[in-house]
This record gives sequence, structure tokens and C-alpha cells, in this order.
Amino acid sequence: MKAKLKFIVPLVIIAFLISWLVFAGVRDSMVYYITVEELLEDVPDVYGQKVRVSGTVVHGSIKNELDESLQFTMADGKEKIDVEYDGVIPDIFTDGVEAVVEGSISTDNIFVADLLLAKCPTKYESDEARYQRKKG
Amino acid sequence: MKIAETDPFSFKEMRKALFFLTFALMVLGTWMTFFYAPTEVVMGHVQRIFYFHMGTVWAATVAFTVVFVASIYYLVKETAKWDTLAYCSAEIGMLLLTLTIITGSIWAKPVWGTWWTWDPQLTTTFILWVLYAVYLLLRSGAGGRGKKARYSAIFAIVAFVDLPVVYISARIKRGISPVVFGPGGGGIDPAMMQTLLVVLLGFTLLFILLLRERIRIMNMETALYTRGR
Repeated sequence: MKAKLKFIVPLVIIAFLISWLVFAGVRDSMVYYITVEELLEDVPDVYGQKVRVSGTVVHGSIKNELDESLQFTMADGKEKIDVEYDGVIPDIFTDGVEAVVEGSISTDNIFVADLLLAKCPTKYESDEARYQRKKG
Repeated sequence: MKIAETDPFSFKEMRKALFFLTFALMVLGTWMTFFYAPTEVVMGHVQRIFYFHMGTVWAATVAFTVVFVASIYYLVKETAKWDTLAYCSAEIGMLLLTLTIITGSIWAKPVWGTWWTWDPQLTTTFILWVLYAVYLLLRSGAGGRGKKARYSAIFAIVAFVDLPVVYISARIKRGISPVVFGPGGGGIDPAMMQTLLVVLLGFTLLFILLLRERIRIMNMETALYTRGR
């Protein structure tokens, strides 16, 4: 039993060390996206750099061009930015959706996106429930 | 003879009962997914893949937890049955996690607009998949049971560390994966919740069924191999 403990205790310590390393690494270094505010804070250093930015699509700002490209304004409560995009549009993309765009900001402060993603809702509602909620 | 016939808990009967119960729950769960659960208002019908996605990831979580516990038992007791349990459970867990990733991808394409993105939850899930792929590779390598089983058990215990990270990552990190349940989550419609619970129960039984069958086959293999020598 003593021999086994000698074996298991270091193992548990190693497991905890690895988990801490993974946790700390994930917590500190990796950021999936930056906010519009953080993006604009980095101007002008960020010009031409590839970044991933998230914000809410401003109501009424979506403009579909004749050549099927898309323009809209993205805001995060403090700052906002105009986005230009030409590509596949997610099904749920509309006013008020939280969007994630990948691309870079040009010197005239327009974000040129190569990829547009939409965050799905965190609340799953039925038609009926939404109707009742809006009515009440 | 008479006792054996009337004994409701004989192995054969248990096996049959488990099979039919699993089958009934899986059918009921599938029916509820398509006809009972309401259509989600933003995502539409595609959101129905949620039930299958959650069912597989839940059963995979159970499977990898079994691998973890069985591996600890193996290191302490060093009896072959714990090693067999860990290995069989890992195989099924791997199948379920692969299905989780595939269904997630199918769901993400229309809703998010991509098959895959390196968001924290997706990244940690990918790491989990790689870890158990390595585990299964370790198992398939040459060598007798003793050392291989022991190293595999150690690896499985360390690999398990990533599992809670997958669940926490969406809560503590910026990402695209939604936090639906628990504190900070948006919650789901009651009828969706009922459907989900039936599906989760169905997948739990399916996992137990598959695990028992896999262990049976494994024991037959071992018996044949031993006799052959």
C-alpha cells in the first residue's frame, strides 16, 4: 500500500499542475475576440492587422448592396464601427444579433471583414413563449 | 430449473429489459425531438439537433468519467476487470464525442456561419478528442497487458483534467458557444427541457447497454486468446 501511495500521490500532483497550467494558459493568453472599444483603442497600431471583433448589430444599420456585399454598424455599448463584408451570411444574422467578424480595420476606420459569424441566442424560446412575453 | 425460469433478474432477462427500455426511450426521445419540442424562434428547425448534440456529449462525459474512475481503481487494485472497463468505456466515449463534434458542426454551419472556429469551448473539446485518441492508440500498441494497462491508466487520469475545462471554458472565456444552462445562462422552454431530459436518459441507457456488450465481447476475446495458447 505504501508503494502504491508513493506512486499515486505524485500522479495527483502532476495532474493538478497540468490542469493549473491549462487553466492559467486559457485564462490569460488566449482571447477569442476583442470588443469594438478595444479595437478602436489600438488604432493606429491595429491598421492592417488581422483581428476578430465582436459587437451587436445596430438596429436599422444593415444595408444590402446590389453586388450582394453587405454593410452594417457594430456596437458594444461604448463604441461603434462600420463593417463591410462580402460572403456567406449566417441564417440568424439580423438587427440586434451579436456578430463576430474576422478581418482588419482600414485607415478610414471601416472594418473589412473576410468572415462574418453570428452568436446564437443563449435563451431557447418557442414562438408562443416569445409572443406571450412581448404581449405581457 | 423452475427457479431459473422465474428469476426476473437473470443476466439474459436483464439484458433484454435493458435493450427494450433503451430502444423505447430512444424512440420516444426522437419523437419528442421532432414532434413535441417547440420550434426555436431564432434558429428554427435546425435547433432540434441540440437534443442529439447534448445527448451525445452527456453520454461521452459519463463515459470518460467511468474511464477516470476505472483507471484509478486499476492502479490501486491491479485487477484486469478495471482495465477492461476503462478501455471499453473510452472506446464508446470516443464514438460519442466524435458524434458531438459532427452534430455541433452541422448546427454551427447555418447558425454561426461556419463549420468550425477556434473558440475556447471548441478548442478544449478538440484537445479532449485528441487526448482520448492518443489513449486508444496507446492501448492498440504492442506489449503485454501489465505495463500497457498501467501507463494507459495514468494517461487517462491526467487526460480527464481537460473534461471540466471544456464545461467551464464557455463561462469564463469570451467565445461563440452559448451558455444556456445554470447561472448566467438564458434557459430553455419547459417543453424543450422535458424533451432534453428524456433524450439524456435514453443516451445514458444506450451508453450502459453499449458498455455491457463491449465488455462481453472483450471478455470473449480474452477467453479465446487464453484458450488458443
